[in-house]
Amino acid sequence: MKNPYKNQIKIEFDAVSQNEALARVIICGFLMELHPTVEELCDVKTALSEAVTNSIVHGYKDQSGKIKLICRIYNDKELYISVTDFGRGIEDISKAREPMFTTDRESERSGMGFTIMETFMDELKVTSRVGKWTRIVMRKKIA
Amino acid sequence: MGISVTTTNNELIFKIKGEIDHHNAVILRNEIDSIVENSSSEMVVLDLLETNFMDSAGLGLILGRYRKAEKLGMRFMLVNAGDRILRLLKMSGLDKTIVVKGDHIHEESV
Repeated sequence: MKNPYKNQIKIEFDAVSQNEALARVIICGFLMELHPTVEELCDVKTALSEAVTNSIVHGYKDQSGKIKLICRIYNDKELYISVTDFGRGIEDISKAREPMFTTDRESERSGMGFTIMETFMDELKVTSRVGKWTRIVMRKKIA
Repeated sequence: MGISVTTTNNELIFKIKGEIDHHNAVILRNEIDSIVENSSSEMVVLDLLETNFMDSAGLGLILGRYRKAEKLGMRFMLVNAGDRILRLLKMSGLDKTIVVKGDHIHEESV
């Protein structure tokens, strides 16, 4: 049976901050077949960096865990990214998505993560189960 | 990722090379702060000419360094912020708080 998507990768990695850069390299490699512009590539890299960072900083806080990254190409030009962590979850998603809102008091978090994801990607969906998992799904048409 | 420090005419210039993300921001923050805290310079400058990636952690780093400089009675300036970084600064409203210059020309003191 044929897949609805043209290509897919599923990668699981440790939720440690040095893997933020790894995730950016992975998406660059994956996106190459769509010949993105420099602008499109930067947008996607930045959005993914935000999602992965959120999982590390908020999903797991000071604890260890895994992050599951799934990337797909639909219809020859649409990028699909899902980032899932199995950490604390988000109690109030709409509050979390408010610009400048951050629960992180100590370090210098700007609260701009979701705003950046929303701006740089065409679509952003956030789902969560408190105490269990958080999933960020983003889509972008690569022209 | 690396950082080079120059002291010129009462300015402390930090040139940040490479990427600024959450992982790097912690390292950069500690390096910059340890130098700024022990300095008698009048101004702290962050030079982003060779910064080839920045996400919202960079915004936090910049704002944090600005606040630190202010607390120590120093001026603060961001220079050579490219289009993408300017875009992030505008999105966060940080461009209204922080002095951002295209490039920074140093004048020799007489």
